[in-house]
Amino acid sequence: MVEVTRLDVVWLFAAAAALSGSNPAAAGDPGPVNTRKEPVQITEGPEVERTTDTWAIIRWTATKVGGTSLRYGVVHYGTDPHALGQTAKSPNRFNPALPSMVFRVQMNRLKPGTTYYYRVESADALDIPEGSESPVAHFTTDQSP
Amino acid sequence: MKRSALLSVAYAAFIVGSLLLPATGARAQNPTPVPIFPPPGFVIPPSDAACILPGNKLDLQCFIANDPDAQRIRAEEAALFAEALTAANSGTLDPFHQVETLGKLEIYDPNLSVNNNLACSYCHDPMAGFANGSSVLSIYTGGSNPGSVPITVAGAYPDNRIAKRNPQSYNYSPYFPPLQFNTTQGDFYGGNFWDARASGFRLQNSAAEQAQDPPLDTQEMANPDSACVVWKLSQSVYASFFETVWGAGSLSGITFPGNTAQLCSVPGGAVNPPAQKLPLSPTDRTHAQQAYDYFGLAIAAYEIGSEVSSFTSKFDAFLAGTVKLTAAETRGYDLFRGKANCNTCHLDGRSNTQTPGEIDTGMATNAAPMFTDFTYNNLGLPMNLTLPWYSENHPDQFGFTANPLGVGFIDFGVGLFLDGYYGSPPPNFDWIALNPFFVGKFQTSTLRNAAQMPPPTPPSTVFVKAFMHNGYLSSLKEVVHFYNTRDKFAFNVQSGHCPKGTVEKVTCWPTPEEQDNKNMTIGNLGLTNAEENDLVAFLQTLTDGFVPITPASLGKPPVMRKAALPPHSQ
Repeated sequence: MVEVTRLDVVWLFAAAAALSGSNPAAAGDPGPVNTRKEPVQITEGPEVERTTDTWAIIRWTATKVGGTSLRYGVVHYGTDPHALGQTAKSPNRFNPALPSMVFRVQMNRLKPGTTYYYRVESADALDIPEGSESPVAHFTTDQSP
Repeated sequence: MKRSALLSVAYAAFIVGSLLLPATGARAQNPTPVPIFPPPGFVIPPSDAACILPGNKLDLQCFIANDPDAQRIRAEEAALFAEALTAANSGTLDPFHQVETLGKLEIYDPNLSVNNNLACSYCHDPMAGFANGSSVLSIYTGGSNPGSVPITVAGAYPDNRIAKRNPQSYNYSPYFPPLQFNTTQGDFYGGNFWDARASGFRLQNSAAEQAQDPPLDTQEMANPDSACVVWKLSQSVYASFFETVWGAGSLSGITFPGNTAQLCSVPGGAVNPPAQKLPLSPTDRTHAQQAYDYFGLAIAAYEIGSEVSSFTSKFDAFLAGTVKLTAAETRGYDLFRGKANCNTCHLDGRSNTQTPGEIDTGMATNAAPMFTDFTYNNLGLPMNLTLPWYSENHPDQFGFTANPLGVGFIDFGVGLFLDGYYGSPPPNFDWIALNPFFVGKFQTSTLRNAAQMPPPTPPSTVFVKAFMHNGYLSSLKEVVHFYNTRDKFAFNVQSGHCPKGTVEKVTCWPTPEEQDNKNMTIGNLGLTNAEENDLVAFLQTLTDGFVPITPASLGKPPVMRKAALPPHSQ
């Protein structure tokens, strides 16, 4: 018997509505084309802010280019530097009074004592990439306590 | 397949999913003892001593009868109701103040609850910035307030129905626009309630729709039918004043059945005897709904008025150029707009600086900034295990179980609203698909009056105010410290189980209740202890009452809200 989880139900709704064309932010819809001329530039980092045995936080600073108030920091990662098949996204909000924007992303459900390779980028609230990606870097999670 | 057909499929799946969800939860018991964190200076009031049960639990009926803050709130409520009734009966109010005064009468009227014992103001104390006004509740129940219905099942805990969250202040709530999803920003804006469920779609007034909810909430005022509230209004001492505002017959034109009193005495959710809707004719049902809408609109009128949302804080005077901030307040304000990132959500309405050290000479873009952007965020708060809600997994004497999931309940915030937790889908079916992006998010409250508190009850030297949707944080200093260090001191533990050598809420923050969509703008701000204190100093400038309300500012004789309160509460 197939177990129906809460997540399954949630994504069922998401898929149905995406097919209906009602929501540009939903999965399956490419949404509007990014016509921004000036891409975001990473000016500092990315760097590992903190690691534990099961999670880590990556942070970087980027130039502040006009866009949505809500942004997503995006980390593509994996244990093979040539196959960064996993993605972590965290919402960050734009501070209108600062000249740059710090992105922070938390990666969960990591394995202890494991080296992960990653690169970062950012996207706006509609999941449109903002224009620049970092080189691949790596970190190692802590051993289990 | 056409869009309408697909939406029908989505809705059908929604119904099936909603039915499946409860079965996945665990029926667990809340741990004993539950962890509490009384701050230095707090002493349990002697009259409450007998109300503290083993395991840091609170005998709610004992609390209701004995707590000094609860007594103070009752006295405030009676005084403000009497003040409003005098004004209503004066015959001198202009139309503007008539509707405002009607809302005031409704808000301070305990007779509008199922057992005639609970006014809106019980959970929204004017002296506490219209939020929870009891220190004991802030510590022992996460600020959640007991409702109208006692639980009489022998040995039951809690022994009174009680809300699932810390009550959100309603000051400035009418300034929140009706909920809308902005497709350019990819975000929800507006609505009322922590979880946006008062969307305002029908009345185009979120605060009015918010006001219609607690009278029917099984855990709060617990009326079984909105028509019961209308019937109670028709029996009130201000029924004729209601019709002065809304028109002759708006109450008296409704024919209620002969057994209305009996039907309306059964609390919402009851199985035995069953809670029922009043058997009204279609025309009377329509008129009753209209009257209930008027009820909500009048409350919104009171909430937007000068007694609740007055724009008279020190910060407002600062914006007007009539007062300067202190050095600490200025440092706090600079941090608020800069390093601390507060104004990423709590917008202050000022113009932008683009380079470090640049002086902002701009005026506020809005002369009355709201200190919120009306959006929703997951701050990563831990579960607050003191909430008695987690123990409401047993049927009460009416056969009603408020929270079948017990401690297995996860508060998904806006996610609950979007996935039909309240018994129906969101009013805009397109919003259902947005659920994954809003799970765990709660409304960004205005910061105005967050620092407002009543005086402590001796021998305590502090009043304890609960903050956030679950009341896990119990001072502004804790709030700022959480924003500053959430990720620096994050531990994968539940509240009450921080590792040895750490102190919960100081050097240990338990794991978030919900990780999805956790806002990472905060969590490691790098603020010093002195900077945290400066931020608190700034937040205290947002409390109304700094600028006196004058005849010139109102165009009428001054309204001295606190003048009617008993001396000990001023």
